Order: sequence, then C-alpha cells, then structure tokens
Amino acid sequence: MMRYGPMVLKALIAARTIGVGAVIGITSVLLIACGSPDGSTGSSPTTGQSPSDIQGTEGSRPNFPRSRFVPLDNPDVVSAEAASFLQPDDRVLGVTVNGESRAYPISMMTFHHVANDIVGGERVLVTF
Amino acid sequence: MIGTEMSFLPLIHTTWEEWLALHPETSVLSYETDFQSQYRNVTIGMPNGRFDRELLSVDDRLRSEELVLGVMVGDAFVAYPVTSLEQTTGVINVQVDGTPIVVFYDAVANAGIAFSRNLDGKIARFERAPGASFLAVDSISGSLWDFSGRNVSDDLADASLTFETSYLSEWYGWSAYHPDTTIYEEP
Repeated sequence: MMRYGPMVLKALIAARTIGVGAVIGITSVLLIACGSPDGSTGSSPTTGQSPSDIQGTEGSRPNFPRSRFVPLDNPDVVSAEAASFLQPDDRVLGVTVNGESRAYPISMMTFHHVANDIVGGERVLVTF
Repeated sequence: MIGTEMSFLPLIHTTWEEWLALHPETSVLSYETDFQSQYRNVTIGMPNGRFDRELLSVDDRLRSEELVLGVMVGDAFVAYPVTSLEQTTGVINVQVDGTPIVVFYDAVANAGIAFSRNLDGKIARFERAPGASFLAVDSISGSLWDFSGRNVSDDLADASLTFETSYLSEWYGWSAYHPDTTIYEEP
C-alpha cells in the first residue's frame, strides 16, 4: 500500500533542499501560488512548470523515476451529494477559499501527491 | 520569482463526515480519472521503517510514525504530539515565540489546527464548549467558534479566527524539515 512512500519522501526532501516552494511533508500542506487565475503573475496550473521541470533546472536531480508522480491539474469536481465513493470515516483534506470549499480525498492524494487547482478564484497547490 | 515564497492556507485533514458537517456545500474531487484503480486509503501514523532509511538523520525524540500537529509561528516550530493533545480538552492556549495562539484538537476526527488568540487587538483565552461536536468559546465575546475558526454565534456571524500555519504530520517528516522544532509538553 505504501509502496511509493520512501521515494515520495526522498523527492520531497530533494525539493526542499533545492529550495522549491515551501515545506512539504508526507502530510498535508496547502500552499497558495502567486497571482490570480486571470492575473499576469505566476504561471497557470496547466501550463506552468511542473515540479520535475523545476528540479531539473537546479541540477540536483532526485533519485526517483519522475513518471511515478502524476499531479492532478485542474481536477474535475463533483458535489458532496454525488460523492458516493466516500465513506463517513474516509479522510480528506479540506480547504475553504473565499467561501468556496473543496475536499481532496486522501485515497486520491496518496497516489497523486500534488493537486494544482483553483478554489475561490485562487490558484492553490495541495500536497499530501 | 526568485525568493518568492508561497503562503500556507488552512488545510484541514479530517474525516469526510466532519468536513461535510463544517462545509455542507463543499465540492469534492471526482474519482473519475484515469487513475481510479490506483486509489486506496492509507492509515496515517502507522510504523514504516522504510521512511527512516530514506532520511539523512532521524530525530529519535519521538517515534517516526507518531502523529504531531506541527505549528510554525515566526521562526519557531512546535510539534504537538497527538498523544498529548488527546489528554486535553482539545483547546490549548499557548504562546509560541511570544505570539498567543490556540490549538484546537478534535479527537473524534483526529484533526488539529492552530489560530491566533488576537481578537481585534485583545488577547482572548479559549475553552472547549460543552457538546459532542467541537466548539470553543472565547473569553472576550463569549461567543462560539467551530473547528475551522468560524464564529457560529449570531452576533459575530462571518467573523473568523486568524489561521496560524499548522498541519498534521508524522514526526519523521516534521522533524526532518524542522530539526530545531520543540515538542510541546503539558504544563
């Protein structure tokens, strides 16, 4: 079940070592990127640098196969009523931005580890 | 962009049931992706020696897999072990680096979060309010706040506590990123 765990950690520590973003652990951290979705600063979740691009530019390549991380970019969402795949005790990461709330199921984040999303008009990066 | 730092938003790691109770209008990521067959739940806080072998150094003050609420205030880092939080009412008034903060811990959902105790320039103390669901009452207005820091009393509706950077972590991760962290001990 935790097959990719060690590689996850190594990758994240590598990212930290070369100063990408902020602190990211195996646990959840939500970061907000700079700029608004329609603004001119920053890059969009779909066209911006991926974490692997950033790592490559630093010349410090972590020792893991990049293909194992598949970030969720602009993920599709459903209403709470339609989320029949979730049980009451299932764990989620929940965020509210400008009055809009969204839940990121741990079962999904354990695979993707990164979601690039827009919530309440703000670009957010969710990690687990 | 060099030198730019992303800022932390409150991200509540809790159960679907608790999140839904806090935010009934929430949306949820769709399971309909190309990777659906790979999705599975994990249990947090379970022993896994493989992580230790990947770390450059291991901080043995706590067990690697022990769950902590990591709190960052200014340059200070404090780990609140869940085992310690479980011994409390779920509401702890503390000072971190001179800043008065309150830690909320919801034992039902095994969720934790920290907020500032500064309410319009006055420093409040918080207590757990009676009842099954998590609510805290402050010493200044006497009104009720939910786990996500929203005021749920009519007279202060829409008011929110100020989030202090905090998230649930396994100890090995928190201590690897913040080797100078202190560990909260009950007074």
